[in-house]
Amino acid sequence: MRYLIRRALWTIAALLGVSVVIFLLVRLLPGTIVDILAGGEGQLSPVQQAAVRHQFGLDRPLPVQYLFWLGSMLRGDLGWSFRSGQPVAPLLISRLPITIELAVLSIVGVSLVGIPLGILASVSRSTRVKTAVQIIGLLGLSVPNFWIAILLIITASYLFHWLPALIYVPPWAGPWVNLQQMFLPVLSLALGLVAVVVRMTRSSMLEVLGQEYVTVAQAKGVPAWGVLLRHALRNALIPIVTVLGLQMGYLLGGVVITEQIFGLPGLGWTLLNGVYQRDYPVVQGTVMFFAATFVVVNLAVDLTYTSLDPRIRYE
Amino acid sequence: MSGVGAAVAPAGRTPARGRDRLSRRVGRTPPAVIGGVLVGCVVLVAIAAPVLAGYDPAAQIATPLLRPSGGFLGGTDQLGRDEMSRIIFGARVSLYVGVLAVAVALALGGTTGVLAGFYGGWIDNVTMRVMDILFSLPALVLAIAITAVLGPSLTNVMLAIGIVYAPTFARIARGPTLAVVRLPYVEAARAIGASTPAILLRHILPNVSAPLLVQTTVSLSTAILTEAALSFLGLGTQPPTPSWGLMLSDARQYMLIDPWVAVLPGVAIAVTVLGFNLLGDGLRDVLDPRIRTM
Amino acid sequence: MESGETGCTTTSGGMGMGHGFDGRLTRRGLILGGLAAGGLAGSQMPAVAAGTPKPGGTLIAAQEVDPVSLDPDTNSNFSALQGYEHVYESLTMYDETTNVVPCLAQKWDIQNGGKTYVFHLRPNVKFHNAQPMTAEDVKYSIDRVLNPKTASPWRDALSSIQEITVVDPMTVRMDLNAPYPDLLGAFAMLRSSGIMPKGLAETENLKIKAVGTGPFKLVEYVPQDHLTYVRHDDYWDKPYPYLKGMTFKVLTEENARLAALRAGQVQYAALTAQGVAQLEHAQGITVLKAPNAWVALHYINVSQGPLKDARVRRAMRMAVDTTEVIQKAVYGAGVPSGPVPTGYGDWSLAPASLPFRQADIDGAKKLLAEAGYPNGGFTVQIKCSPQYPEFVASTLVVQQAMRRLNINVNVVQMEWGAFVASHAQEIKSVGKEGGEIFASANTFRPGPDGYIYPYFSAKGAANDGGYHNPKLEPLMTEARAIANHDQRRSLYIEIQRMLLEESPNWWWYAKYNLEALSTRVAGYSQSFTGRRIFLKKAWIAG
Repeated sequence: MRYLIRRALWTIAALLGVSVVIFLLVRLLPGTIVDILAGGEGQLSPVQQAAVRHQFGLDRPLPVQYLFWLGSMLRGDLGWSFRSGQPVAPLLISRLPITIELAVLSIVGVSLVGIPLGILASVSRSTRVKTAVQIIGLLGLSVPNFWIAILLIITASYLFHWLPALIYVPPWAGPWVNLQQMFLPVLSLALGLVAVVVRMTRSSMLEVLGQEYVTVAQAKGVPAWGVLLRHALRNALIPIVTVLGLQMGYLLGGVVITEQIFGLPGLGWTLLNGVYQRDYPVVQGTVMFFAATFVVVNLAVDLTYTSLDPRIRYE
Repeated sequence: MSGVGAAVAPAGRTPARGRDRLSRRVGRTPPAVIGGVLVGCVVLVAIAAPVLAGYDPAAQIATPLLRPSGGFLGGTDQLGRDEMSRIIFGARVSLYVGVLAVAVALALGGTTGVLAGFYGGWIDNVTMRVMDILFSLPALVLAIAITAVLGPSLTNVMLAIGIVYAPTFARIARGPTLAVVRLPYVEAARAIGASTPAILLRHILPNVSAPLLVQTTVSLSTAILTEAALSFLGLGTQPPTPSWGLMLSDARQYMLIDPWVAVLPGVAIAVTVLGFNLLGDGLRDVLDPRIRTM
Repeated sequence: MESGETGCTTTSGGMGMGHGFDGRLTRRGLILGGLAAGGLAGSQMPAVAAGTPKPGGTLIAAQEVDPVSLDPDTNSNFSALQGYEHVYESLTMYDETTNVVPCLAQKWDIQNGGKTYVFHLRPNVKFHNAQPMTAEDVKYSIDRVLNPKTASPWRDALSSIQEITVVDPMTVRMDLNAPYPDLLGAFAMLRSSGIMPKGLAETENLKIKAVGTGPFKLVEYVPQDHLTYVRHDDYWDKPYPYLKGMTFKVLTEENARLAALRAGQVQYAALTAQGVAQLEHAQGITVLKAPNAWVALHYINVSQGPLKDARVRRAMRMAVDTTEVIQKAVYGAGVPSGPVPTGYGDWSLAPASLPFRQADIDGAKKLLAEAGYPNGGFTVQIKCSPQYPEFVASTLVVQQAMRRLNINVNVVQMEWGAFVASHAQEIKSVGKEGGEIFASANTFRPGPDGYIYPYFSAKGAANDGGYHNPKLEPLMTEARAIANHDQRRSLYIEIQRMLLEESPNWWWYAKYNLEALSTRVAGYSQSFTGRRIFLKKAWIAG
């Protein structure tokens, strides 16, 4: 219990740290919303520039701006986008489903392909099979993912004259259309990530298969599949799940390039645009959102370790 | 992303014996050998670039978008520069990119992780929370911010990427350190009054070096892909420097007009990244005695 | 220009546009400009309606850059205009030959030596919320632009207006502080001149909502994703629009736009020349190509170093082959241009008469020697942004050419916001800091003056490095105010020749406007402004 409290306090400290860092970092970027609005020809007179700065609260001293932002954030208000005038919190929430769906479907896809391949690589006695699986997996990882995405788009439209409907349809509104829209982006992401899962599955399986209880099960006469699935895989799953979790974190962080190429308004693209437009509330809000998610997930994972492995104890 | 794959070497393994076994066992692992050969080729090409390349990679000397021919083995790109020379010099950029990012990550993250694990207590808490903060910051935001402050150059961008990779290295270094630090003989050494550097060197380092080495090879390959992604967004290499990532990104507009400008850099990246990954896989297999090859 | 994304964009800069009372672009001028192009074999489809217009149908278009905000008064980016141009209108508008014609103002009287305009509004014009448009709405809309608190980047286009008076519900009077022939063009340009219902800005978030008099009503705008429009049934200009609705999907990646065209998911997309080349053999798509008021250039900070000397600047320009720049920057879809983009009626210089068509290394070296740099031997820095790959390419061509003069060019590629900020800093500090050379472009201005006065007059607001030419200054001031077209024209020709001689900027080419349409779409014609004004006349056949 005491551990939980202490950990929670440290988590809050970390989040505060992130808030200060992102607050300062975004203001370090050269140029402000004033420059972006003027568009490069400097056509905003000093009076107008002052009006813009005042409108966005940028003429207040930095600590005041920070405290103001922090205060509203604690009340759940992430401010308003400089560029679209929309409140940030609802904006992020509206972008979240796309990012989550992309992430979840990619993980599912990666697991469906990666775990069986990894198992194959671990039990096969043929060096050739093992090497082949490794290389196939790694090929997806070896090419920049914008490249895979573009190749997929070109192949689909050029060879098959097919592309899904362009305006995003959420899964509850039109499951079939939604799946079509997700198909290419998920494929491009999954191809890039499958190698890691293959590798982790393979090494984890190898480790487990070398354990005594597996030999015992084999000696008892349990058929090979039974050994594999019931004894080996279940125990091998822990590190595999960890890796999938990490990939989930990476995917939830917003895969900017995939979103840009396929025209999906997700969190990553929102953040990048916010940076380009010097839209401080959007950048700060999105980063805090990511940070909070990450930190909370981290805490949960660490706590799960205790339950999974009783040898790990926190004082 | 793949840091979790590095298994921890058992505590207390002495360095010397491990090294003998290492070379023999690497030799027996085909993927690692393939990886090593690929990486070796890339390194050689990078080193011998001025000799191998027929032309200045930044010089626009011919008609744009020529197909491969006798004069230009890889054809020319959209500005009339020799593709092959750009590919060859691009090896330098890729290696530079990887080495820089990893060096920063190792220096920053590796040492932080070891120190955190070694001293424990509040130092551990603080440093790991700082690493958490770094981890939470999206890589792109950091890259843009740092280049904005320091100036837009590939070096500065990769510095930023190194900082982004640091938390992973810290995490990897911290684990084995924590495990070893509690062992009786290390505590004994501290009790006797052995200096911290000595303890770090003799006991901690051998146990973190293996997973760090594996992570290094992986990060080297990831750095190259990251540079490509950043070039896609216009934040990576400064033209006219030839980098495979930038070449690939520029080639997007010409895919159906002249695929060669895309194929060559794509293959170059794939070969290099594959090489590093295979090498890393092989090293992981070898350095983790709990995994037996079948 | 644009903030943050690739695609067709414009620079802001609505300063003193000299359109003249009689500022007509002749069809002959436009066509001459168009024929003088080299470039690719795009089909030049005339703007002829094929068959009878059929009302109904929804057009799905690919939008290459996110509009970011739809407020007609507070944005300088071209993509915002592309978003709100179907919703808002102004007192005047452009026709297919880029002449100013009546829109919300049916006719106007110009009195008092050009200092007073009385606009007689068109009756029975309804806003999208069914409210009738009156003089109060016009006064409100323009007052908003003039109010410094609104921070309108295009305010200077209308800044000569001192006072707006509502004479009666259908008549508005505007009093200027000095004659300003370009006022009518400034309205037609639709940047900071959209007419909205009185009080709208105080009740709605204009960045994502819009209420105007235009042919289409805004249904929704999801930033970074899409815009949907629906037909305004009470639109004044019957029988337009024919389309029942339009959807613009933001697709910044050109390969995605091409794919969507091929797969039939969009019926319209603006493309680069490379994109058009990749479309070859695609069925059911035509590509329209027309001159565009977009002149690619490099701004030069003339306050420091070797660039202070006009001979150095001209020598450097002489060493670069314009045709090569066109080929490498826009894949041939451009035509050499002077300060006023080629094809702009008779204001622009004929491409064949332009200097610097071919590289002249020897001449350049001689000039450099005269200026005191016989072997080059200095370094200049050129800034560009990867948001516009064409400017990066043209800069690299310059860098390569400078090698032959033994001049070293540092190419600095900056993220868009950083680029914009450093250029603004250079202008503000009169060249002391911020940079030396900036790769950019000028887009549509209502008249030749917009390409000249703001940049080269000592009083101009976008002057790089404090350029001041005492011979040129009075010419520019005079040309702004002359009513007689021919006199004005010869002045501007002379001004442009002098500018090319002095090379305070390097001007390269006027780009072609390439738009791909499904063959099912009829009735659309391109506009020299680069806008999609005439989607209101389009219909979907078959």
